[in-house]
Amino acid sequence: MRERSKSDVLQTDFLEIRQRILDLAAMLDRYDTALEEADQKPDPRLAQIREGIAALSTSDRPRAESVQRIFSLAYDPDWQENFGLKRRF
Amino acid sequence: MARYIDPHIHMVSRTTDDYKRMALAGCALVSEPAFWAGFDRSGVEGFRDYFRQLTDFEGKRSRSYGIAHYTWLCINAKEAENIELSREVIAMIPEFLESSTVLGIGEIGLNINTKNESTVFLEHLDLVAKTDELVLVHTPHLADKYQGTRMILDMIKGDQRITPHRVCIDHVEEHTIALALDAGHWVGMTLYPITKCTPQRAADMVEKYGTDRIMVNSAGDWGHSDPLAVPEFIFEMKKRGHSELDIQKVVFENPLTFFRQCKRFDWSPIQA
Ligand SMILES: [Zn+2]
Repeated sequence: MRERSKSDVLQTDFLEIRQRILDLAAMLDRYDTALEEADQKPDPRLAQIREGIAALSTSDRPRAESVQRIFSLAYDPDWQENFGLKRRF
Repeated sequence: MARYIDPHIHMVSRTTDDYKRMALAGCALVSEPAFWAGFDRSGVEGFRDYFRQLTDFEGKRSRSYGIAHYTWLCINAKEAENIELSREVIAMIPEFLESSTVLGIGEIGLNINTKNESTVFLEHLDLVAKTDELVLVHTPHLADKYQGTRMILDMIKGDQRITPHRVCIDHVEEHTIALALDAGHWVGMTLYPITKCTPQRAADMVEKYGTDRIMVNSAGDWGHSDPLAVPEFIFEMKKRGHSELDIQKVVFENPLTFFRQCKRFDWSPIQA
């Protein structure tokens, strides 16, 4: 596979990165300025969004994979027993 | 122009204009898994008619555009909530397994990771083991994908009769691709708006994981989707300076290598 330099990637992606950060900023502004409902409950999606944004600033593991996991349900290794599905073969 | 195969596209939901545009873009062959029609079918006869459409009529339609058509049969995860109907459909599938364009059982899988979906998945695997068919696996969307993929891999691993390299785990993304490759399976990356992968992210994954046992598809269907998604991937790979050889391996040679494990599959590019 061909190797690209960091400046190659920046050259290709900079404007798109800028645009997406701006889109994200505008979407969060849109949320902030929307009306609060009387019976507003904490929405777990907000925590996911906050965690997702934080993951962009760390590089201890691939960011795309981190973001995917933040927006994923947890896996329970005992799921088959919990469903009563025994291994048959 | 690069030749390509779209190994996962639901052509029954697309127009003949799409066939023409795909042919113009270099599509030589499509493989069409059985899936959900957007509404639940009323009974097993609805599936029989659908399987006739997949194994007979759709191939005639594609041939007039010079595109070979192959197919996969099953009851999809969304309708698998109805176990009784699922069993009737699974019992009927062998009627169609002698058809020369059937590649195997698919796209079986999970949708929202329920007990019934898992039960029907296991019963499909049992049919696979008894008939020695290839398998195409649909993994769930969005939040359900990671959990569902792990459950699917558990079930396949739990059935010793299933050979890992005869199974393709489809719709893999950044958090599931390594799980499937490490288990010895083939993988499919689906370029689909909003809920799945972009051509850029698919190219990133090819750069990270290499070109072995990896395919790219559009999963074009009756929803918002792009039947020309594979050419978009080719375009992205070219833009990044990847060799024609690497690109052809992913979009043409790899699907053929996977399909050739099916005893009925005898298509060769010379026929194209
Ligand atoms: Zn599909």
